[in-house]
Amino acid sequence: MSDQPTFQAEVHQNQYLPAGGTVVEAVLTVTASSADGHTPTVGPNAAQVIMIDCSGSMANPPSKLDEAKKATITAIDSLRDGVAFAIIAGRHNAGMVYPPTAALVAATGETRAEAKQAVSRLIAGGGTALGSWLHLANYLFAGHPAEVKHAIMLTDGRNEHESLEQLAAVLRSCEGGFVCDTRGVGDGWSGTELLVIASALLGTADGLASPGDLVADFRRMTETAMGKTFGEVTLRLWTPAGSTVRLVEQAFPHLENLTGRRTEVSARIGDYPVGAWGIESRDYHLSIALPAGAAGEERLAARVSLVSQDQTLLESRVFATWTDDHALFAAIDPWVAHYSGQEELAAAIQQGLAARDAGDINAATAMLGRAAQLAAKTGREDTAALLGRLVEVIDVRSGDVRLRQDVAGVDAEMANVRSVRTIRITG
Amino acid sequence: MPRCPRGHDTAAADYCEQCGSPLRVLASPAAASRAPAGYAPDAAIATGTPTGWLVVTWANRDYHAHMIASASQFAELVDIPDNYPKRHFALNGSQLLIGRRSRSRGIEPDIDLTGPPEDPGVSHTHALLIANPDGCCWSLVDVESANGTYTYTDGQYKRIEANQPVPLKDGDQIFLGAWTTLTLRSRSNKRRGIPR
Repeated sequence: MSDQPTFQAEVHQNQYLPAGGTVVEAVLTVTASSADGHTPTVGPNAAQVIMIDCSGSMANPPSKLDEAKKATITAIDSLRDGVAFAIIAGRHNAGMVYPPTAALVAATGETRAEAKQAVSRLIAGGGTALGSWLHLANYLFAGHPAEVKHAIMLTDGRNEHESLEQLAAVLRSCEGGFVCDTRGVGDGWSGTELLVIASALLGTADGLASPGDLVADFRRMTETAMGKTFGEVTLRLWTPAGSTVRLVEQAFPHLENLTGRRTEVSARIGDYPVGAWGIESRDYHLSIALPAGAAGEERLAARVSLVSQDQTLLESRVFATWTDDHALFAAIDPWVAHYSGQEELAAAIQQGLAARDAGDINAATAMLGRAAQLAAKTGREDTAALLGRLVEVIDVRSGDVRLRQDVAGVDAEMANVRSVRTIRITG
Repeated sequence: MPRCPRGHDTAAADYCEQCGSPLRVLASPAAASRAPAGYAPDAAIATGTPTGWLVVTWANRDYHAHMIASASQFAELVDIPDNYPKRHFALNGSQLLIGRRSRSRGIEPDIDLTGPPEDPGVSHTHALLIANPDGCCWSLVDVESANGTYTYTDGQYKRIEANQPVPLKDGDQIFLGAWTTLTLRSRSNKRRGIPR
């Protein structure tokens, strides 16, 4: 184990409330950096499982499976010596590719070479049952002492050979066991499924426009996982008696609502899982309802800390001061305003796509129009471009749009899976 | 174990771990025996004391830099805190002591600047805010503090004479210690700016 990164927190909030006001909002920026400027290495204290889709559709076109194999081989090469790993072939059931028995093996020159051999021999055939893949991954990770456990799931299709309930049950059993990044390739995957899995397992979800992008993406995901120094981090929140936690959400680099994932530590304290941490920076949006105060009164609204295995990585505080001064309480903190806008944008896209799927043209037009308007207003050119494939924008300022008729299915999935991405406030 | 103004026992030193109330209010039994922290009750009008005034205390980088530049012996040794939440003190009564609590000496200032974060350049008994006889405004008196009390006039920090009242008006600032700044504010004057 090398030196640990240092954590810094910054709270953005307007602490002033009007007399009788109750809701305090804040954005907490947490940045982990290394003292010497180098990425700390976790050495062998990590494990990685790659789930590669080998269903029949991966052969159509053949380049899909070829690129997936190349990407997996790149990821194997990116594993540091000693990292425990395994490769799973995903079909309507899950099978071991390497090692041949259901276990993790330590990366060495020899095991890497054997694994790459096994991956290159993979052939496509069969269906897709994502839950069975996750179940096997969970079995491999269970009981392994590695602190950082990371999985990559690559699929080109929808979860067709098991029910949503089966997938949900598997996800519940996997939660907290490992972090999983999900990736869709080709044009048959479901953005909602990738998001549901990545969200439950605190990873990222994305679609890849071209199979050729897989290699770089697999390398990046593996390197990011190897750079994690804390495996299971929780955000610990103290709030005063009589208060209600309205929102705990990761706001950057992507939206992840953690409000419902609270574990009670004591009457006043709850823990929210935030996954693995390395050298990185994230923002959290907090909203807390306090008992109403009188002008001049002050309270601590929240203590926020990041905790890893009983080690407190940082602690920060959110305040509330009640005042009669309109100039003080009327100001909205720009960070809070920014992420409120990003949350509304994501919701407009997701609701618009759901309405579109349900055939509700009016609702879909209204929501996607609002999304286009917000994307333009907040400088989200990436989102605006994705929306531009779904709607024809007539007037971006009023959100006036028309649904396109000739939309490729994958464009809607891409807009969906990327709806949770956020940017930081600029300027 | 400390007890917060609302009567909760708490192990935390800064804010009550039950209700989040600031614990420093307890520093002054006089303050605790008054109405709950807040603005002056209307009854104060009858006693001829100004109503609806407060001071906001904050850590002032510009003043800290000035103190270092003026070769103040202690300011160089005192770092300005990164995180200093503004504190609000309602001005209740006709005479208020600005300073730092001292249990051993029995000093319980009304405007208690005990931290954390704490400015060690503030004397235990540093200065007084005294209500003007007309009941509409305040004067500042330095009570022979070790490091002096400053005001800002004509673009300069000026150390005030000890034991000489200096009249203050809404929005005036008081500087003491290495970085502590108090902004005097009247609730009735709506046209003031936001203290930074």
